[in-house]
Amino acid sequence: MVIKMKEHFYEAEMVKQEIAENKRLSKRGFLDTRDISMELNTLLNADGSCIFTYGKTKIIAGVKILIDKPYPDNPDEGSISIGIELSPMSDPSFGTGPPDETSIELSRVVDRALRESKGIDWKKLCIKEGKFVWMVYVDMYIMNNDGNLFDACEYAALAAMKNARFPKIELTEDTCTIVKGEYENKVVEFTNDPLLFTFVKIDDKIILDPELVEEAASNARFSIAITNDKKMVAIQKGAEGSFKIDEIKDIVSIALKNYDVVHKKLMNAMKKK
Amino acid sequence: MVKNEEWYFDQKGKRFDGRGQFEQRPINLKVGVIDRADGSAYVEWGQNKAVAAVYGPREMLPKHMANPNKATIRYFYRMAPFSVPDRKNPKPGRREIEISKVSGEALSRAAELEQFPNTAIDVFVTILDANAGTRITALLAASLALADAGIPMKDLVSGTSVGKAGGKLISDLSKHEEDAPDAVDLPIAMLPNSDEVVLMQMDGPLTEKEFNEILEVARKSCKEIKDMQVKVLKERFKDDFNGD
Amino acid sequence: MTKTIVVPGELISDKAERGSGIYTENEKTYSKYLGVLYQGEDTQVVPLNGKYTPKEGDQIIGMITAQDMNGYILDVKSYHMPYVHKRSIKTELKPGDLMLCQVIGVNEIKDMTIDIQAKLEDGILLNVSAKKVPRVIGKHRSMITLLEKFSGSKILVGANGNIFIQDGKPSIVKNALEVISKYSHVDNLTDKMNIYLQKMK
Repeated sequence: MVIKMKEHFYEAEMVKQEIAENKRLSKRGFLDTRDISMELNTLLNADGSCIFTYGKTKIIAGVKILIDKPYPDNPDEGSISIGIELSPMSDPSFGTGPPDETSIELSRVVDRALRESKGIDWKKLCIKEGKFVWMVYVDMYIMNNDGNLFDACEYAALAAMKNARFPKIELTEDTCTIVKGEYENKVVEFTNDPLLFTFVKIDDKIILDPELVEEAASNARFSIAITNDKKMVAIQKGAEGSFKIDEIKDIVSIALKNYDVVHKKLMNAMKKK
Repeated sequence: MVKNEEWYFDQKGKRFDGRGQFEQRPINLKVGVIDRADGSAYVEWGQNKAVAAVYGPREMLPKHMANPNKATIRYFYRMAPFSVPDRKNPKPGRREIEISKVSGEALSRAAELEQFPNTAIDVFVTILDANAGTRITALLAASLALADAGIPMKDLVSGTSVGKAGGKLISDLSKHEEDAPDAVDLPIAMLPNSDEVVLMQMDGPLTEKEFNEILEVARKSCKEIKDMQVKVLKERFKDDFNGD
Repeated sequence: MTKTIVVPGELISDKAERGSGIYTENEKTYSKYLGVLYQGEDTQVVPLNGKYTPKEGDQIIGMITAQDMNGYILDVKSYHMPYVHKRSIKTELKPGDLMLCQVIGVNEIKDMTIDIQAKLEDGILLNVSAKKVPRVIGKHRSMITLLEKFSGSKILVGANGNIFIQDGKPSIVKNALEVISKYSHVDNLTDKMNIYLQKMK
């Protein structure tokens, strides 16, 4: 995350000292991810919700599934919309006013990971070709920021969507309306659960799932989305530093190896609640 | 038991959701939920859920907005797009701006702002889930967050909402009751120690007798809710530490 | 033993008392803060959280956040950001630099005039709420001595809650500061931290 965190600059020095000794402040291994827990569908006005905790990072994701007109070039396909609000409530470095480049990058990377996985069958989001399709809105708030908002938001959005229910509708020739408070026994289906993995580079070492102070210590970021058939579906390199080709190859193979571990964590957390 | 739009009380006088006439929905309070804020709190009131964060007192920007005599509380009440049955446009609407204004004014009476001339105290509240009564849910969270931030205050701001539906005076209207044809909603916030009312809004008709009666109910509720606020603030510091 | 915690508006006494962190109304005394109550000759409520209130003579640590033609603006975790003129400093500074400063004057709006004493380099900045600084220092510096012993670091505590650490194991200090902040209301904290740090070793 390229949030300007001058106040963390000096703590970052401590992170670098630890990293130089092959250690992390949190005692995690370089390639270990944090614990995941979640509360699903506790927000009753949302069609689905997930209060998602990744270590100390906490995201609130709410889903609204609405009827929309399809785009003329895809008359039988619905769509999703990902919005992430870096509310000034959550962090003193988040400003008021319209979304800045940081929050736009974050939303778009999360959106790409979910969209490009082709895990959603857009045609299943069609109600009536050329007239009515489903639009799935996922809006997210950062409740506590302890780094790696990319992965946390992506996991939160995925979990929220997978547990969101479609509203019941009344469909006639020309109208389509939502029946308030009633739901179909149908959720947003993801066939291949795309998961995002974000790495940062601190000095010459690469770590997975950085905390806030680790982000402050880093100079380059690499996010990669993987599906359950072990395909890469989206990539974003961020921040001012760089990666060598070999480092990128390593990152890819680490992400692929980590998929099953994190997927299991996520599914277990989902089952618990 | 017939459940239709017109149904507000059963034969025993219980409300549609099983509550008594002056019974509030369950309230759940938590302090210290956002590490990076100077003070924060989370409040659940029935289905309503609000999270509040306080930053400050800090330098007022832009500078010409600063008051040379005291701090200015800037209150931002916002509803998440998924917090209501229809998706709400994320852009703040006129309702949110009005609620922000009266809520900020309510807190300003409680806080000792003269200690911090030329500064801003920013209070951000986000509603995550709404079912009538969110401005009071938000204000309770904000008041806790303000105390948590170490801002000097005359008293905690406590509040409730009372009113009328289905021909009877009631406490804490739910959305169903708020939509009654004869509904009256009267959110109220007080400084319970001094019996001062710091926020009051009403829509709907009441007689003077009804108004006086329901006001007494509200006053009693505010005191009860204040006891809950006091308890949760103290609970944060009840843990002992023996080096383990 | 934990101390008595009071909340804003809490009745402390049925008669009007003198002290700080309190107010009186109708011959009764109430707390202004969420804080710890001390009742002796004076009644005192010491807030558990809050920004730094500048006091003349205090030594504080600030970070340069911005500069203009004539000087620098420092963040000192207070209500205002003090400004220092370039002509009073010999070396060129840049945003992000840490400065050891002394408060030489406080005006009626709690804005302060500061004198820059030194630039702090080759160390790590941590911070606690300014209200917890007395606990971090301890009686006769007992807590600092303890932390220095266990971490092998040199610790400089600014009255504003910014803490500068050199050498040794700053991560031990960071962890200890989190514990001290959390349990600042507990009695005999230095002894208990001694046990805690032994165990963590």
